[in-house]
This record gives sequence, C-alpha cells and structure tokens, in this order.
Amino acid sequence: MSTPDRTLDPALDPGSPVPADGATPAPRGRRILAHAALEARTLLTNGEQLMVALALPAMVLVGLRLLPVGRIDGAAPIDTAIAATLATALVSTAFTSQAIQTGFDRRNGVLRWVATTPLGRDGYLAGKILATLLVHVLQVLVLGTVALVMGWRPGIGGLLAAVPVWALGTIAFGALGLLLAGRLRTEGVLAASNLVFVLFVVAGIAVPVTRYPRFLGGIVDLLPSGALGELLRACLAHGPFSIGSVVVLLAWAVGGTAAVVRWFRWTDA
Amino acid sequence: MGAAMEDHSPALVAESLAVSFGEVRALDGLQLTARRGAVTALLGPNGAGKTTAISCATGLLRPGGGSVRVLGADPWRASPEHRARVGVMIQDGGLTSGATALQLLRYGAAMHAHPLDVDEIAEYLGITGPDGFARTLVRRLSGGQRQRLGLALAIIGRPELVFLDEPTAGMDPAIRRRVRTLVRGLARKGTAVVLTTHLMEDVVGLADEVHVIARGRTVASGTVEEVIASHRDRAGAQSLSARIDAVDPARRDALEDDLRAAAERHGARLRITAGGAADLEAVLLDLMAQAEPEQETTR
Repeated sequence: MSTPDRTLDPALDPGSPVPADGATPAPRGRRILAHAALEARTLLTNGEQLMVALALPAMVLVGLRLLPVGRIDGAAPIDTAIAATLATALVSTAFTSQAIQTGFDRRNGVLRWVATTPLGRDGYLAGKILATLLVHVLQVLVLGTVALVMGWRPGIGGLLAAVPVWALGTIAFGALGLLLAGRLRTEGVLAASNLVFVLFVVAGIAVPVTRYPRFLGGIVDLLPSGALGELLRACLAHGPFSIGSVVVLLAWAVGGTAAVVRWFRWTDA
Repeated sequence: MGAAMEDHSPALVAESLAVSFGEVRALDGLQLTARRGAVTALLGPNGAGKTTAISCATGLLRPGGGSVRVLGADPWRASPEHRARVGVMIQDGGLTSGATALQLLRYGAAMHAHPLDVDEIAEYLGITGPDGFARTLVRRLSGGQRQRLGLALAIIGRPELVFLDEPTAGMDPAIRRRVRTLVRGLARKGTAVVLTTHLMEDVVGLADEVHVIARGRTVASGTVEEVIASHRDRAGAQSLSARIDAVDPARRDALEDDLRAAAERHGARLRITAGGAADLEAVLLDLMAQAEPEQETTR
C-alpha cells in the first residue's frame, strides 16, 4: 500500500460528493427522450441549423409560389410550392442537419463516449430519429402556417396520404445523412451534405422530373429526391401517382439503412 | 457500506490482452488488475497502450487476444445495466459541442436512476459558482473546463468503477487538488478508480497501485514504493530512497558530504531528489528506455 496523502482526506472537504452502490440506468424510454430533447434543443438553438431547417424552406415556398418554376399542369401554384417546400424541409433536417451534427459528434468523440453510457449506440440513434421527427413536425407547422396565409387549402385525404411518404422519406434521407457522417471526415461531411442538398432540391423536388429532358429525367426518376418530389406532389398537388416512385424511395430507405449498418464508423480512427 | 464494498473480487482483470492496428501491436500481452476501493494508475509514455487498454475495458474496442473482465462481465457485450455501473471519462472530450455545460450535466444525470445531485457536483467542481461556466456552450469551454465537465459526467451515475483518462490535464493547481480529493473520496467509499496520467504528482499519494505500461506490455506493477524499490536498472542495480527531516541549514552541506562518502564506501551513487514524484519519474523513464528494442537503445 502506498501512503495516501493525508491532505486528500475527504473529511477535510465536506463538499466532496459520495457515490452510492447499486448504480442502475434510467428506464430506456427516459434515456431516449433525454437524448432526443438534447438533440432537438441543440438543433433549434443553432442559428445555422435553423436557417437550413426553416428559413431556407420558407424561401423556397415564397420563391416557388411567385416564380413559374416547378409547376405542373392543372395544379394551383401554392399546391406545387408547398409539396416542394415540405420535401425540401425534410431533406434539410433528415439529411443535411443530421449529417453535419453526427459528423461533428463523431469527430468530437461524442459517439465514443455515448457508447460507454447506459444510452448506448442504439439509444443514440433512436433519440436522433425522435429528434428529427420532432423538428419535422415543427417544420410542417411553421411552413404550413405560412402556406395557409399564402392561400393554401389542403384536403385531408392528401395530407393523410403524405404521412407514409414523409416517414419513408425520413428513413431514406436520414440513412443517407448518417452514411455520409459515418464515412467522411468532418470537413467532407460539411461540404458534401450542403452540395448534395442543393442537388437534391434541384433534381426532382423543386423541378419535377417531367421538366427534365428525357435522358436526365430517367436519372432523376431513380434518385430519392425525384421519388419524394413526385410522391408529395401526387399527395398534395393532384400530381400523377407512380408506383415506381414508391419502389425507388423504398429501395433507397432499405438500401440506405443496410449501408449504415454495414459501413457506419463510430470513431474517426 | 453496500454491496460494492463487500465484494472483494477485482473490479477489472485483464489477462494477456492483445490488440493490433494493422502491423502495429498496440497491446501485446497486457496484464492489469484494479481493486474496488482503490485508485489504480496506468503510467507510460504516449502510445504505450494505456488508452487502448481503457478502450478494451469500456467495450469500445474488441481485443484480438487475451481477455478482459469488468465487474465480472465482458465489456464488449455490456448491457445498459452494466454500463450504468461503469463511469468513463475519455481523452479529448466526447462532449456534445452545441449544448451548455449544465444542459449536458442534466442530460448525463437523466441516463441514471439514482444520479448524484447535479447542483452539488456542479458546485463542487466549480461548474457553477463565481467562476462557473454552467451556461457556456461546450465548444467555448477551455480545456480544463471540459475536463471538469467530463469528470462530472463520468461519476454522475455513482459508478462502481470509473475510468479517467488523463483527468487533470489542463487543470489549474487548485482545481487539480480538488479533483485529487474527489478521486480519493470515491475510492474511500468503495469505487474502483482507474486513471491514466503523465503527472507523477497525481500518482504519489493518490494511487494505491500503479501499472507501468510500455510498448503494450505491463513492465512493472505494485504500489509506488514497491515499483521504486524493486526497480533494477540495466546493470542490475537497485535504488534506495530515504527522507531526512529536521536538517539544520547550517549543517546541510556537511550532512550531504557524509552521505556521499557513505554511499561511496558501499559502491553506490548518491542522488538527492525533491521527493517521491521525482523518484517515480526517474524509474518510469528508465523503464521506458529498457522497453525499447535493443537496436534502438544501442544506437
């Protein structure tokens, strides 16, 4: 036994906290909720993230309402505008914000530390998904309110039909965002997620597949952005419904999730 | 005391632990134990394998060979219940940068059923108070402030075993002393504390046992005194430490001369040091040199 330093006696320092035996984790639901709250709060109190989550889609809404871009025959301009705006909002949160935040968490060692806590990696991901959904709800409320002011009058059937599309899109784009964050260096994540976001918005979300030349349209048709744009326009702007778009979005969701499980790296090493 | 004090099995046992990163052998047959109610220090130079050993013990890394048991379980397959019993402070943070210090502390507490009082631990470590940083975003904290927050998060769940990877790096002397007191208090109440450090003054008087690691192997183990006393240099010679108190300054030189003469009479060399930390550091440096491959040491 070495001789402990007597001046380190905790009795001399009554403020020293004392651990107790029988450490147990909080219930799983509470752990996930705590993580979702932290993620959502972090996202909503960050100016850049708010810009991407709300300001940018709002600009898309106003732009598409006023400019003759992305319209389809027989649909009111506000309907095509809100369909493209909600798709933009979904991609901004599920893909871009998620990729950037997770990329920084990976670089800062947060993913390493989290894996040693009762939350664990699965709890981290579950909390992240929940936070994304919470932010989505907020986006729909804010952007929907702006659209209502601008004359949007949605039908309940279309809104209900958009929910499964929204959920499938969240899985597909969320998986792609995590894949980016789990493979590239942080600087690469930052650059790629913003660049790919713009490409997604242009390729099938703001500009429908039908507006592209035949060859390019064939490519856009196979992108998750093309499929999401077409499906939301079918639900909210009386656009044509294509089962092919469902298959494409489903394939990106399943393939993306499998790729994350296979290739996501939790550390920078 | 509770169950943790009555359980006499070691909190951590690592046997012949081996980890390779490509061609590099990070751990090469490492042996470690850590007792409950004791502070165990892992010493060694950068790249010796200390952090890799902790990564294996906390389930972050799967060893390629050997075994590691933490509180009787395999950390690689640890359940949330197991992880609640083990606190971890990793090197270089691991803290979410977009939250404030207090938000993160409350978040850490929410992971546990019976956490420490957040206000109490925050006040103790100076996270709140006159020079506190509770409402500062983590990305704006200094290195020492991050260390304090990381330490608070590691112990917030009242763990039975806590790993602290360089807990006092970047801290000012007053806070470092407080942290040392806290660590001693944790051990006294039954927690097994495993820490790594490059500061010998963090070891002497604080650690009950030390493991010296070099090139992925344990090259010396025991109490600080045992490691110093049992150390033999390359020629096989040992060191003998003594402390002489109540020296009259006027007779100090004469005493030194006498001691030198006595050492010479017995064929030994006298080295007057500042105390235990310097002795341990000298031993550590010598052990590091001895662990180097022969061709490098003879160059």
